Amino acid sequence: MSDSNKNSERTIRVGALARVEGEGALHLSMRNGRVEQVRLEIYEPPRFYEAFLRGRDFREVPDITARICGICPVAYQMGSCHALEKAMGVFDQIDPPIRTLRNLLYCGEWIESHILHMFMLHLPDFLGYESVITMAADHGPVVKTALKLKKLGNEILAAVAGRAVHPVGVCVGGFYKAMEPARAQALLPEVRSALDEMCNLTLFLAEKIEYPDFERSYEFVALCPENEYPMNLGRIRSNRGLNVDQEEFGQAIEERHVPHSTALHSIIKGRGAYMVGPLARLNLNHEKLHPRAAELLPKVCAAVKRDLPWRNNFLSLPARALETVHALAPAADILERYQPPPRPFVPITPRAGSGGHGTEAPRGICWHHYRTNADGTIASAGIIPPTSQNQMTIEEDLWQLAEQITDLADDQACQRCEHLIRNYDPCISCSVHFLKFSRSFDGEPAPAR
Amino acid sequence: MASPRPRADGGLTMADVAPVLVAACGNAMAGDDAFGPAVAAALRRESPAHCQVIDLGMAPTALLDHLQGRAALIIVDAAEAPDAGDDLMEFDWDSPARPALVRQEQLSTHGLSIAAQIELARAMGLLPEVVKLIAAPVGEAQLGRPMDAAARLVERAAARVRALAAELARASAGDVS
Repeated sequence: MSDSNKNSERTIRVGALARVEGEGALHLSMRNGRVEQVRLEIYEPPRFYEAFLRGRDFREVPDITARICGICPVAYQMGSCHALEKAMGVFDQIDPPIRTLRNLLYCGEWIESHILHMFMLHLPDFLGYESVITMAADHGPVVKTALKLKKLGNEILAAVAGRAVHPVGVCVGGFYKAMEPARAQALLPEVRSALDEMCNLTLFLAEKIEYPDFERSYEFVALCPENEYPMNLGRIRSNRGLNVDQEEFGQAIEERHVPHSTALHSIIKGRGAYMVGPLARLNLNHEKLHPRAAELLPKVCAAVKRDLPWRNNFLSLPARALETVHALAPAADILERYQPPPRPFVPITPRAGSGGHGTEAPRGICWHHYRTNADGTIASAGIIPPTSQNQMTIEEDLWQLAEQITDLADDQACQRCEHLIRNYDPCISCSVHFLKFSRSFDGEPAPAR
Repeated sequence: MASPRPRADGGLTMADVAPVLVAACGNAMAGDDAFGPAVAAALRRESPAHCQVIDLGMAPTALLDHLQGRAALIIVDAAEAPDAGDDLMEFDWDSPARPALVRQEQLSTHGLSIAAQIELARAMGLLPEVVKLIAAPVGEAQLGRPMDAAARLVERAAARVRALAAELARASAGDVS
């Protein structure tokens, strides 16, 4: 990434210790077969980006935040754009065609991210393979179709925002340049074909997988717009009464530093842990699914033998599949009707201000807050990614699982824990074996960190 | 570069894609891990013939989108080799002497690493016959730092990639179907 000030020297000081290695460490302390403690550490890249966003021009923020996550750049870009548009006082002026193009961009990201996670990271767990590499030997056609669909998601990103990897076309206010209608028409046949294939894959995942029996009571939190399945807009609600405007979300939750982890834990003030992500979105918004996804829902529920709301996060796999069908269907609708917006972006005059906004990253709400100075530079930045919001819920899941795996050897116990953590698709699940796993029994000291 | 067109059997002809794919990886905001993206930028200033250059940044999962129909793949990245001095390194990907890439298993958050991508491509029959690594040795790659030692190797790496791509393209020319 090039500095916009090529001729000036810049010293960036990061206050917190820059821990850039992605480590997942889990320690379970057991006594008399009961869990005494669960310690889970998950890497959180946004923490370090918040520090060096300070002093940057607001127009640089989408490009910088796109590099927080290689798989979900759009989620970070959309959160930053919406929050900064509020800070700059233009949020309500964003033209509907620009919002439609943003939805199409998000469809591309959901397709790419969900397909990658479902078929290359999560499905091997369910089918008993060590990785997608060994799974491909026996399920080549499924993996081949998945690769084709993932590539299509990236092609949508490239068509709308110039590039699939760290999209360059997104700006605060809209897009530097709107997609040409010819590109939309070129994508349409492939998207329609992919939609049919994904419907078949969704039924495959629902019918052919035996899902572990693991139910808990969760507070599900998601964007809940009035008339559409959530991606960019909507009030933030839960199944237990949370109902806040986007700006208020930061006040409704609390980030805590816990002694055993460098990752912050988010809780709903006065309550506790909550879940964001596909299961939360589906449970709270299923009636707003596109008709192509809605017609699959009863078949999926029958196949997994559970009506909504689902309280088993292993069912995040069919939830993601339904969401992928949903993303392909409105993408096809948008591409079919596409006309470029009258203006690709809304012009902005920098000002001092503040704004908070979250959008639905594939893994869940990713919420941003910025304060800007009068010259448009960033005074402060706060980013709450889905991983930290789910951290406490993951630990509580692991707490329940730990008592079920007491008799397993460490390597098998570790695999079960990794499988559970992958339900949440956090920022460490890329490695086949990503956990530094340890257990201690009956008062033994935990290993040094 | 136009998208490759399928044959009747669904494969791709060598005539439809550049025979050599150069895939640069790395985090442009993390010290010497910016080596890959910097080399990609240098290559774009003087594009090598018979070659497509892609900057995968922190999303190596896009690699599989680009492999079909290629004769050769050149990976450009930073490598964990603190004792290797300060010289450019070049390896066959399958060489036992090849060093690990910076954060090889952790580069992509909730994705697949370059190493896993390559193995998956091999399992799916997508991997080109020739896979090379051109790497800068780095001691560490801290977020927020500018490039340090690796910066001195960027132009040399770009020159080597151009030469290597030309060699590999000539070698593959007799295999166009």
